[in-house]
Amino acid sequence: MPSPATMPLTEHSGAQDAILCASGLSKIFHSGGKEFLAVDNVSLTIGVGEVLGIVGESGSGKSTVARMVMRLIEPTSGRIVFEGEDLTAKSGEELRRMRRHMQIVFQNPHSALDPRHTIRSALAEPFLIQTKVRGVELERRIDNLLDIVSLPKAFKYRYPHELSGGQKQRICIARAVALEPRLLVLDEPTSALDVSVQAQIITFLQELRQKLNLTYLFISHNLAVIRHICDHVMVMNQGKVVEQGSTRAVFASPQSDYTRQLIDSVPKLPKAKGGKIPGNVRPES
Amino acid sequence: MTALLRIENYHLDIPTFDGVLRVLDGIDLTVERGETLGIVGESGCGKTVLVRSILGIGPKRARRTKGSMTFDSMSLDDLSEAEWRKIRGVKISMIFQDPMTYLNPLFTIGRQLSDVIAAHGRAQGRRPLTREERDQRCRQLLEQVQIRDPERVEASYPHQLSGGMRQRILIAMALAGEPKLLIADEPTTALDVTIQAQILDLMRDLVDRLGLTVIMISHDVGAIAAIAQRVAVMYAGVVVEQGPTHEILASPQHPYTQGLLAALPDIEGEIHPLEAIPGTIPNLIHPPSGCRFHPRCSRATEICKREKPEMRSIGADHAVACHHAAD
Amino acid sequence: MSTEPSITLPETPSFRERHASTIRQWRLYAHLFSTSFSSMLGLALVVLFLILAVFGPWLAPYPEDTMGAVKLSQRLLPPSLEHPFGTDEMGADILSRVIVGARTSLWIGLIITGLGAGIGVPLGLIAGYRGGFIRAAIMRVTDLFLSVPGLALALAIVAALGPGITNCIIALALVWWPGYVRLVESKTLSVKEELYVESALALGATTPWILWRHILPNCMTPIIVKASMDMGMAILSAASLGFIGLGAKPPLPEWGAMISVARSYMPDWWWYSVFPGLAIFLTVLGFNLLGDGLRDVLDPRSRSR
Repeated sequence: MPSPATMPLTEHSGAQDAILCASGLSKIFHSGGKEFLAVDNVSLTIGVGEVLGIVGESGSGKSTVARMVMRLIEPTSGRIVFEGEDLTAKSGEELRRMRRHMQIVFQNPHSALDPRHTIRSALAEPFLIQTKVRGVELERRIDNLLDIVSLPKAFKYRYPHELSGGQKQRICIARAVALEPRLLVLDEPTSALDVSVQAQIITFLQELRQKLNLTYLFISHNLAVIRHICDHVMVMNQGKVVEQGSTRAVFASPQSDYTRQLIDSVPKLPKAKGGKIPGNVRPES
Repeated sequence: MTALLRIENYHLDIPTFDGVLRVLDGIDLTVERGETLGIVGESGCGKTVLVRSILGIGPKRARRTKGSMTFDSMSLDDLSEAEWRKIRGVKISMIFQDPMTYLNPLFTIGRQLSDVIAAHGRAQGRRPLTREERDQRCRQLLEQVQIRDPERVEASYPHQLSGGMRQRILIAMALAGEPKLLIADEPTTALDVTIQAQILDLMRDLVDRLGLTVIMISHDVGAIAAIAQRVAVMYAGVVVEQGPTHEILASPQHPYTQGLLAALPDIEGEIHPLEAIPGTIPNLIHPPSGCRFHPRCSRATEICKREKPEMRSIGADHAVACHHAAD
Repeated sequence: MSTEPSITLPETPSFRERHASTIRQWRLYAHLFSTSFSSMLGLALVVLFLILAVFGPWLAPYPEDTMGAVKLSQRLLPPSLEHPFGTDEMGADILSRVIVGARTSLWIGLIITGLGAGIGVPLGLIAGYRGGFIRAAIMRVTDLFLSVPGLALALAIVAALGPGITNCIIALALVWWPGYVRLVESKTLSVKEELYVESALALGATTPWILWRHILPNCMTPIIVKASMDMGMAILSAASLGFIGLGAKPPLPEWGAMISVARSYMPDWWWYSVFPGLAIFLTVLGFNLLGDGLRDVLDPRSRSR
């Protein structure tokens, strides 16, 4: 069996260019004299307008990969090419300006917003940092963002702790799309949310992608969610890529034992409509 | 045979600076001996407050305004601390969501387990166990939770063990006093999905071997479905539906249950658009009149705004609290 | 985003609506604060002190005595209706001097605390955020200062600079700043790991932006608590220096300096040292209780709900 690192990247439909191409990403963490290889030679390609998912359990390195792509964590080795430009070579002011084009939504909406700032202040921040938009125009943009995420204008004057988890996540998404990025990295965006809120956010993200012409890199440990929203998927285990391919293919016929184990571990439910799948539920007599 | 746990018309209020939170609004639940009941609900539904009240470890300011809880024909209302000590861990035990925060990082597992065994012995009024007896019991408990190398684990500190291992230890500790009822509060939520499956298997195994009665609460319907025979669905402080698990999953009757199940993405089968329940969970200081779900319900009518729906039986052991359930 | 120019301005709700959340938060704080007797007592004492400090000269029954009058016929009179606190060895009314001394003490406390925080907080922010060599350098210097007992260090500085109230203030400020560095550095270390800081970094924020907008506001709670307690301690320290003759010099109506002179008139003319001493005691107590109360209210973790 060829090692996953040398497995050929799945062909994306030829017409699409890659918006992001990362090759040979690795990350070694140093702590207390010991070295820990969190990510081992991971390569990925995301086509324009598609959704690439990275799925894995805790410690698989998927969040580290997401942050490396954003250069929030510096790769120990590897190269990232974003829209044709070498991202890894950039630094300082150039890097800061590149950040307009790729943004990230984090897992925990409760701590991703500064509790001391109003929602209005949180939404103004991207503009204040990256643009010269101020005054009336700034207010207009903020109102516009609230429209995009379907939240009432009155929320501008509230503090994060007055909002629910789903509302906070919408604000985080609004902050991320404020500068009109082309790539959105979503690091477990619904893991901290209730099931029904998760459904709202996922549906919203799908609509948003169409509306704003975005490309997504979607990280999750929840296989069902990944299956639902991603076109292509990459399975990671302990820092390495174990399998990758189109979502349909990987879930229908997983090649790797690990992937199969992951899929089997998910408790399955009999569905209300049609009920075609026999559940794992043991009806005790 | 009387039910092991009976909760009747339980109302719980929590006073806050902004007003009184009507956290539980008339809960009726029974748990029979040897059965596993799952309680499913999202944040704010009151499931955590409910199960903690069973053990008397709910929020300090919470007040029971109506109703009662009875365990094994003994009332659980208004007990003193001394009376609670005879129940907690000994008759009713609980395991929690995040095993790391519930284990003392400064002591070895063996020491912590030993302390628990000794404490329960005292609470049951037995004579103090000798060191050998305690060690033996330790080993027995660890083996019960399928830990194959108990010596190594006993000598380890919590941070040296994996999440799954820690959860097993918590379960072992919970079983140390030989309780009749085990309450599991989101036991697998913080675990990886492969470990989650192992822990659920373990719990099923323990129920079979020890004849445990279990109440498991979770917002993860899948985990509940894996081990619970009966399930109760809670929303905003009310039980909206309860019945056999396979029946509720196959044909849910309450609009909230239906909405909840429709919002779950599938791991198999056709990929269909997720249906989200519109709106947000209600403010419990000023809860909606009548049926608490009516502002978000597509089938709501006038009566739903006026009257709180009673729990009505619609089949063998399957009950729904909805004015339009039979439609 | 919308490309067509919008003619209508976004409507602005009223002041009340915009700040409803903040108003509610303050009402909650006030309510919690008022439930504690000691906090309210502290507040009362501090408010009294502030009133005396601000309106001193108009409240003092004998304002002309405050800068040292010479009325030798009235010297060392015991407390009476005309002179509730008695008179000193120059005949000046002690009550008036104590009242006006409040203003001196407030001045001293504010400047020392202000300078101390003004130096210590930025250093703490930078040390906590940057890490590495800069942090090591700042923290080692801080440790150096902290290893010398405060008053002894202040003494040394004043001895070098020469006695007088200004030098006393400078000396104490130099002793005070390390405490803020420690406090702010440790809070910064934990705040900088928060997700909202990472979020700002992802947006392209620079270090000054993050420090000013995210780290500092989240450090304000411990700073405010420390500053309010420090006011009391600073006043006490200045009084101590005044007491040993290295701070304020007579005829400045500084409480410590007054006690210093009163020493030689003990125990027969007890009122001379007792009343300024009582003033120091109540002021420091007030600030300490206030600081405790603020901490209980502002730091949710130390509050038992």
